[in-house]
Amino acid sequence: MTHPSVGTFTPSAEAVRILTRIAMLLDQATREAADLRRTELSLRTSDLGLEAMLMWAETVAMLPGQTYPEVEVVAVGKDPVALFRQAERLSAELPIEQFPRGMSQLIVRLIVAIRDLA
Amino acid sequence: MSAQADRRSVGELLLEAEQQVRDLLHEAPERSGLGMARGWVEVIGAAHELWRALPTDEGADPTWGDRQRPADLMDQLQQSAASVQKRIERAATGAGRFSAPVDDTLVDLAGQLFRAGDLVQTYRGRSTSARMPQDVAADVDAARARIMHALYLTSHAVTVALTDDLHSLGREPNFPRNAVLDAQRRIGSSEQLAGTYVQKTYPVALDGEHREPLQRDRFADALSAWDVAAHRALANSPSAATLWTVTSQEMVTTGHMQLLWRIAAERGHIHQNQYRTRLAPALENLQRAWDRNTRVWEALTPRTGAPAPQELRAAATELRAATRELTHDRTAPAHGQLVAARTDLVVLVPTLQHSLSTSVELAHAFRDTRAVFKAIQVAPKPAMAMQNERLQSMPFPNMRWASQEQARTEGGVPLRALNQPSTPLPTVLVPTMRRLGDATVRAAARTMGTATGIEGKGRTRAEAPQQASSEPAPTTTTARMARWRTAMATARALEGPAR
Repeated sequence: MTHPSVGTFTPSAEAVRILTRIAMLLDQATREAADLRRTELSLRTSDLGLEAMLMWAETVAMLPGQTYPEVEVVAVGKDPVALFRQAERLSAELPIEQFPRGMSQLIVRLIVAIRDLA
Repeated sequence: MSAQADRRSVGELLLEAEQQVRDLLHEAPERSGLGMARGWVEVIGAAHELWRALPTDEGADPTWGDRQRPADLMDQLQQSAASVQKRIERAATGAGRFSAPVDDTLVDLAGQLFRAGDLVQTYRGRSTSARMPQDVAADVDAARARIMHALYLTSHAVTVALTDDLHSLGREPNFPRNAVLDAQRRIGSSEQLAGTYVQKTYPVALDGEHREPLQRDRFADALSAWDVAAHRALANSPSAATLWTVTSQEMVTTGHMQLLWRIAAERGHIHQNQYRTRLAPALENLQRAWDRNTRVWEALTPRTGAPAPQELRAAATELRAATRELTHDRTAPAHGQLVAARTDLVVLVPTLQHSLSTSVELAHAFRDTRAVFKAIQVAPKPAMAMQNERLQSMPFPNMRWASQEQARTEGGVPLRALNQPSTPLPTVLVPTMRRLGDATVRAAARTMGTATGIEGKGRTRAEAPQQASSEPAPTTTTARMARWRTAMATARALEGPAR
């Protein structure tokens, strides 16, 4: 039995586009969290940054060849949890089976982060 | 797993069932749609029994609360399953190359739901409560949400498999097209039906799910695993992403430590005055030191490079979960009383000291990566901004390198164009980075020294657990430290000679 993460499975261009967008949103969340820590170094602000970074890494690991666009995301004062919400909404644009293995764990992680860190 | 040997709780069975279905979603196109449809019938049957076994005001004990049971929904699914079974049974079991055995995974899933139903029946029978307690009601709601979510996902997986069969085999002679089409429509409708319930309850209802008592050694085990993974990653793949992950996790762990040490002091397990005047400032200083490093490596990590190694990410994820389980009450930091109820603080204090020794070790390993700084690839623009900043303030007390200027947005994400490839860490920054590493080592060592010197007061009478005599703390701690030393020796052996 072939699994999406191995063998010949290649995510569609649309799945890659969505994953890239999610990675960019999570990248922005890491930068926004770092900005929050400038004014308030707390368990919440540091945990936000860690979780955003770990989720970003998991998303990039799902991209074919772990490629990420050559752009630099910047912080503009957005709430990192709002960015998690945006990322979670994006993940619903395609059926789960069109994403590589690891996507369902990422979605659950986003939902938990939204619930726990809001 | 035989029924006799299966010690999983209802909650564990449901969680595993849900995870099993998530994996099934990926594999659905590779499986026989008819076989899965037959399995789906079994799953719905098992879920129906479990659903009926859950206590409600319409159940065996009518005095149990005023909560509504959406039994009609489950009955509808059961009726749909009966219709599907009638329609496909002949097609799936008939002779010919399209016959399909019942899908194994779905049979397993049905077995787990049956087992959960049996457990619920057993424990319901023993209940003598006149009214369902609030926490039980919340747990039942969470169980329903999980069951319906599992059915929703299962129905979707089966629909995908049937659709795939129709596309790939639909025009072949003797393919039972009508039966498959009918099953696809009915199961698709069931998916929608389950979806209406899921939309209202998932994941909100999971908030009330019963939590098993914490695994005694989870935190210590996660700490040891993290220690090994971080040392290995720093030795074998010291990329900017690795340094970002290690410093970030240490910053967060130190934050958790602050909370736990404070609770240990408040509950009288260490001297409150010594904690307040010596340990608390040292911990705060250590967290700031890790934070400064995190900021630097967060900015310098080129996002176009590979993320940190998977083993390191997994260890960080587990350590984060294990510490949050201890220090948080769902969304907020837990009160001292709750933490004391969750864990034996007498045993926890040595674990906290172990955590600080881990921090010292990692601070040294982190500082030692300076030997390979020049080979580390970094993002060019933040590196350039840091060079300018370095001239004005050392070592970056309140840095912000990401400029507010933005060239464009993409999908709402603000971006600066970045066409330059990543570059080696500029030589001019190396001394500053070394100073940051040195400062972290000093802060960690000072905190560790303070914590070692602080006077413990042992167990307070009120908090002495009833089974203290059967589980002496020193043995547990000694065993934990021995495991940690073994893990460290293994890590060092794997790392090879020091650089």
